[in-house]
Amino acid sequence: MNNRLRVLRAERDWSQADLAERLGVSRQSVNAVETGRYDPSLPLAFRIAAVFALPIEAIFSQTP
Amino acid sequence: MWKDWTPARRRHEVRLMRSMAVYVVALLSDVWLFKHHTPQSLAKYFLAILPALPLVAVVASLGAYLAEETDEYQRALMVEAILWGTGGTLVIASVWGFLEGLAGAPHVEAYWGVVIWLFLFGLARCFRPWGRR
Repeated sequence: MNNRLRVLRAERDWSQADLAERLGVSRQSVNAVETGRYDPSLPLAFRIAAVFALPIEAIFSQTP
Repeated sequence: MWKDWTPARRRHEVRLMRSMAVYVVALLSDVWLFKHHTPQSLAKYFLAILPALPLVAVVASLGAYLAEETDEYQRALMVEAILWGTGGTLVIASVWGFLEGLAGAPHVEAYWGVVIWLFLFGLARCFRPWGRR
């Protein structure tokens, strides 16, 4: 699964640690999701969407 | 490293260190005791299982960690490492069991199981985070 986390973070000038703090997870977890090593659960995907104030499909997609 | 760990992981690591400290003391005490004395009856059995108790505590601590961890990625990594350790130990134990029973391979004490488990678990903890899902 592909995601736009890196771009969205950059637009807001957030580090991985900043995003991790907002999500209540570790920085390693943000890194794993961002680099595609880990696909988040639906609840975590919803939390990510809420943090960026975007719909899930604007962040995650099946195609690049 | 400590600052990167989740609160649940920190609690687990503290419990782990305490358990391993108790394990070392219990093991060394037992080795000395059984070498210089011959414990009798119930005391013999109690002293024999003494080093195993902190290992039971380690397993219980892992269970508590999985229940307490709120970071799903960290929990998934721990579950995978536990499965690597458990699966690998079962495979080695069953293969060695047949080698021992049918081919006359030397006897290995069952407590080596936890050593093998910890080794495989540790390998998975070290290398899995860089793998791809």
